[in-house]
Amino acid sequence: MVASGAKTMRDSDREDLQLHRRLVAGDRGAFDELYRRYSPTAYGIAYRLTGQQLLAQDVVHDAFLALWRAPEAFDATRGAFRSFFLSLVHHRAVDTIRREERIRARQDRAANLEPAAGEDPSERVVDDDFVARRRSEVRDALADLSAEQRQVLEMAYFAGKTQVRIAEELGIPLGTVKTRTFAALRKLRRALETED
Amino acid sequence: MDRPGSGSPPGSRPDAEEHERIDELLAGYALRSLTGEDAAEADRVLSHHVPDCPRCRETLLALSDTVADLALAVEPIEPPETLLPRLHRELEPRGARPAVGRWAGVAAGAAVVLIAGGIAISQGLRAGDLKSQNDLFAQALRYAQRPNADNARLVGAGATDPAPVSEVAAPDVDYFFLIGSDVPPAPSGQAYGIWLSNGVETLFAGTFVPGPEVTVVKVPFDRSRFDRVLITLEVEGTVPTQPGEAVWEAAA
Repeated sequence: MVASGAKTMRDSDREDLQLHRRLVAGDRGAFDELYRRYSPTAYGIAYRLTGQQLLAQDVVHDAFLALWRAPEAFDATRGAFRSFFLSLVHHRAVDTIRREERIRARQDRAANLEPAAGEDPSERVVDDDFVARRRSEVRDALADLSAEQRQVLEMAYFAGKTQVRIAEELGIPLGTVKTRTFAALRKLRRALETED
Repeated sequence: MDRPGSGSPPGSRPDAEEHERIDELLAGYALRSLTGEDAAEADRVLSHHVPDCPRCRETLLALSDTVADLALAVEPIEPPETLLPRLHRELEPRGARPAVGRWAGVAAGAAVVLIAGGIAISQGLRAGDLKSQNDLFAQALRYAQRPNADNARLVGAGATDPAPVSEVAAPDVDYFFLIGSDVPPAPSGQAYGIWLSNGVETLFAGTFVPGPEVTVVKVPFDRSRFDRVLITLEVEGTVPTQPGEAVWEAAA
């Protein structure tokens, strides 16, 4: 899955920037290429959070449509396009599940990173080599967190739970949730920085 | 001590302990997991402290990047093949997309100018932009002449104050126009956002960037899904995922 000695993060980010410039100019080909690059990851995370195909489709649809309608919202001085867009997808997915409280029951499985039952991770998804490498790095970095740190991070990110709710469910003070969350992200950041 | 963004005097600097608290707040913000007072405090910090604090800007950037990378931990799944064609059907030409900041330069009395067959090249507009703007404004004029078109002024959210923005909509058309006149600029660091709503869900439809006098925005929408339009205040330079403070609204 991972090609060696191939594209770097900088290469990938540079290509994204070029595509974004074309997108700003109204180039639909650039839109399609960004869709090709990011829709599987976007759909994967949207489905993971919402647990429903239709909701996940709406999340991805709305995120790409927002990108087309307001491409200038991405500011390259504030980070990589990948970060911008995947944050957009995640935020919209979180908003969706908070609105759709009735699907909460499906979130139990969101606390682990295994594919959901009946879900086809799809052999057809072929990542760019950089993305494939990055996936492996992120998973390794997550696995290196303490169980307590990983737990709060997974509940917040993969289940879209608020810190207040996490504190209630775990029976720990809100301040502890905040501290663990920041510590987890800091450790992840350091691990991923060394991989960059 | 004073907390940044919560009433601290301009120029005051948080100490290390306070910065640790801000770090935790920014982590929760990046994960979208704050609620209540924490969310309000994050808004204050983001508005009043982070823009002037290199340390916190860097921290927020690093946290946001890290959180975004978490998406890669999930197995990618190809979306249904119908999704891209569905998007293609909704990709309005760039010249007519809702975010029409470049529209803002249409000179005073644009309708009169159009009737006169020309338009003043001012406000730094490029000739290519002007053609699409002319086309768009002409569309709005034709649209308004439909027998069933309705022209309604938006109202201040939660009040009856008339807004400097009107909406021209027709019941059988899947787009409408917003026409602003002397719309005040959004407060510093903020931008006007256009949202479609049905009372339960909302969809960001673009930004409304007022010009010095007349601004026209065409807003495509799914009539079966939405029935209201909101104009809100959003943090400038972001694509919001939930509406900020509503400023004006109307039925779509």
